Amino acid sequence: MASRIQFPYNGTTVAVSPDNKNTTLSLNIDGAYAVTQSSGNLFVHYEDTMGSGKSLKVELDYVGSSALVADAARLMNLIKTVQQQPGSCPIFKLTDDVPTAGTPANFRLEKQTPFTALRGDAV
Amino acid sequence: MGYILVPIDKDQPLAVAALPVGTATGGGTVSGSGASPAQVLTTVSGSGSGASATITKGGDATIATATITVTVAGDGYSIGDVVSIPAITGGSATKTTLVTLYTIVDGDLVGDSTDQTLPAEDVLFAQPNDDDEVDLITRNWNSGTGTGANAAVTKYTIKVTGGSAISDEGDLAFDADGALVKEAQGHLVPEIVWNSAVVDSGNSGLSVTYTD
Repeated sequence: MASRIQFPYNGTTVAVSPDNKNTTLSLNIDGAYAVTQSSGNLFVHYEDTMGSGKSLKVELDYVGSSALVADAARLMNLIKTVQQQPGSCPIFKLTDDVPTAGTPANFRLEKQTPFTALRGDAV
Repeated sequence: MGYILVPIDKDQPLAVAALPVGTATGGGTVSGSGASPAQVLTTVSGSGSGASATITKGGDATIATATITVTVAGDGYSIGDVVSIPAITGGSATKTTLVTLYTIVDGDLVGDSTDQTLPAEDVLFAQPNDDDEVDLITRNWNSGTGTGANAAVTKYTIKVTGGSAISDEGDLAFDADGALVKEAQGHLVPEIVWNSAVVDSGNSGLSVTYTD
């Protein structure tokens, strides 16, 4: 079975149906070896490689571009933990995603493009 | 290797295409040339309705060599349903003297005919696609050289029926993700449970397509 981490989803002002309000989507983190932050979003880097030094990375697109550099480090630590605890599937929230946040949607993944798989440079 | 199950709706529209030649019966003497006027299919056994088809004469005067082409998909058909086409009279196009009978077989429906099982361990995430589709993006490089979003990896596209009734494709992504999470939690081949917008309209999974 895969190792997964869940992330808050439905980050737009257009609510999805009542069934699935305030939901999460999960990301497979098997083989993830690094997490970086850029322009307020997070990038999970995987061991999956192909020619020309390229490797797989997945962008986590937050509505408010609210991810901090510290969040990248926190997510990497959680990935290490989950990889030692199969089946745990925890939820990862950004540092500033607190109950009193003025715009909670900013700390959730974009509705249309929550994740994007990319061929990128290894880090 | 873990898997998830995509439940497939067994009652579907017909594919708008030619049915297999040689499997229809009846029809009496087939004459004329070219496609007949479209005829509404009558369901002899089963529950489908609303489809229409034409008959085009083949190499002899029997229905065995004629081509039956579905022109209107209808809905609610399943494998084993028997439909009939009335005798077609008049005009110069293909005519028949008796009722034609046809039994729906695998491949006549617009989608898959059985539930689909997908390997979950290679799936990175569920991605909203369209009102009636969700993509499962894998970690496997595809044969192309694309560098754009999700362009370098393979994917499964799950299509559900009743697209216009579904309020939001984000729901479908969440539904599929639910099964992925259960697989990660050790459930044995968890099934995707579609949200009420799908289920309440009497629909569920229609097809699974793998794209390299």
